[in-house]
Amino acid sequence: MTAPPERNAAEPDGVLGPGWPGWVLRAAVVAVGAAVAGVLSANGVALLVLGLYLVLVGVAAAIPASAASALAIAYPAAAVVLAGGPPVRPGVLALVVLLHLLHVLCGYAALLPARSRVHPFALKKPAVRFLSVQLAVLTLAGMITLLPVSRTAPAVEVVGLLAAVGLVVAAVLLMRRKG
Amino acid sequence: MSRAERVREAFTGGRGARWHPTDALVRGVGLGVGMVVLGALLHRVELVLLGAPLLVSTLVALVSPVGGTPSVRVRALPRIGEVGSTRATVELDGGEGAELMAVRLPDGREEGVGPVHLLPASAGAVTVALRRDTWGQGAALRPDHLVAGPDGLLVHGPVTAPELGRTTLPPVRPLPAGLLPARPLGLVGAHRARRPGDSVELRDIRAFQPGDRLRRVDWRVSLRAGALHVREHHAEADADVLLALDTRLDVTAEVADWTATGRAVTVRPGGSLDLAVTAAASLAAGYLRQGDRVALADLGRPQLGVRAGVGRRQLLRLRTGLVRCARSAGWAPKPVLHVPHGALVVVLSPFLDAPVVELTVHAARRGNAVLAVDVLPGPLTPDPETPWGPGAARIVELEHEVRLEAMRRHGVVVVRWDGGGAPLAGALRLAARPGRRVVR
Repeated sequence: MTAPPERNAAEPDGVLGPGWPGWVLRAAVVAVGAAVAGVLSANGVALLVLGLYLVLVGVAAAIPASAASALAIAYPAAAVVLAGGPPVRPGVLALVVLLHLLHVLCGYAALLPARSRVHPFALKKPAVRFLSVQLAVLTLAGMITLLPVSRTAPAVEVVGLLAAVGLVVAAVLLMRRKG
Repeated sequence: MSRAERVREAFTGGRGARWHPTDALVRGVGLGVGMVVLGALLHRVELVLLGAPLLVSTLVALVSPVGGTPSVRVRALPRIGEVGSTRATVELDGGEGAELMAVRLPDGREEGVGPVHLLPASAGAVTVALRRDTWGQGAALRPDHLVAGPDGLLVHGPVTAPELGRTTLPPVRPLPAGLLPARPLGLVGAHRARRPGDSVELRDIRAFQPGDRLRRVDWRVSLRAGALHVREHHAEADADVLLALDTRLDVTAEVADWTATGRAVTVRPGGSLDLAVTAAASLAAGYLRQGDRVALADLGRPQLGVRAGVGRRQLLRLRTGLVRCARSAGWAPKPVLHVPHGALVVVLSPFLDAPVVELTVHAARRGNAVLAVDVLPGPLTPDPETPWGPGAARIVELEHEVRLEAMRRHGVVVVRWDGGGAPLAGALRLAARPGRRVVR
């Protein structure tokens, strides 16, 4: 039995409607980038660095399939680590949401030319998946705040190191297989 | 796969007709793993937290397998239609695990193949509105598509689809019926013929001859004259109408554009060919409605003509033929026209050169009733970029007037097409007067 087709963006007379303009996704990339810049500013990042970041966000919005998108995600992460402070704080939690959103938005914006139409109902599944992932990660963050802060046992360190190496190897193998 | 199939695949399939990873996958895996591992090594929990969503969402997206060959099929596409809006149904099949489809579809607001629409791969059949504001042949649909898996990490395409064309028939303007010069063929129809027949219109009263029917005897005249006289009536007949379209020239009122090249459209909107085709379609509809036989001749390309016929199918044939003629329009030095005997010839041209005038006059001198429909848009606008512009435009206008006058002097009825039927009806009424004769 096949699933019934989803309700689409049809107008009342059954014809495909115009939807939203395609630049909405790129504008969302800029908006999320600006929000990230605001979070970084609140964490004491210098204005010059913020200016460079906004340029990077602009390039990512213009060319979402470029390396600028990756830099626009890695840049704030590095800035937050360098800024120091408690590991789980409001700024970090905001960046967890915003950087993930930036990654997803850049991924979808790269699929479409600037002069295209986006039908909002198409983004329902991705939105549900985004919220599920965020729920899981924020739950993890909540659990981390509950854990006691103490020195890690050497055995755990070794296991962690092996797990990290395994993760990297798995990622490399995955990339080679998909590529 | 044969060579022909490989060539077809190369043209229609595009380079990306297979599932392949995108930058988002590289970014998700690279940054996710990188930040989580680096955070673990440096004991920076915030790095782990920032990298975790990227890694988790990438793994979640990759858990659901994608595959198969997506397809986009168009059904219920009307190949011939009128100016305006119509609908077609496009069936979307994204294949296994596909989540989104970016498909180029018309949005009903503009002409053409339309922008790319982002739709769910499970949308199934989508009804789209096709809009055409101008007649002619054009691309109605070209469903280029790209199919994406979850989060756009794996995509299939982009695939360049074959273009599906659609012929939009030229519009038909309502013309008054029944106005036609008395030059018909045959013995049945709606027009008064010169020969005697059985209509109710009186032709003559003459002396009785053996073979005349008794019911035709005019007793009043017979008693007065002292000998039997009969009333003779006109016959009614169908007409043969030949619409001769001059496709060699397509000019607008802007003289500066006459030599412009590189235009994207085959027919200039509002130009002489546009007007001629509209006039021809309207005349054809008018004559066919009253039961006449109508044919089409292309003065530049005689092989594109349409044989004479009657009925609604003939109107469709003629309108399709007009589109075909307009598509192949181009300059030909010598116009060619084969005129059937007794037919009414309607020449639709801007009359900007002597050969078409000679051809029109020649048809009139052969004894055919000839109607010259002037489709030169006016008044002409001189080229503003040259001081000779106004002078050149004036010379063109004067030469044009001389040609029209020359045709009038040879008995050709000349009428200017203004998009309506009023001047045409007046000219046909004049041509239909019994006293009018063609100069031989």
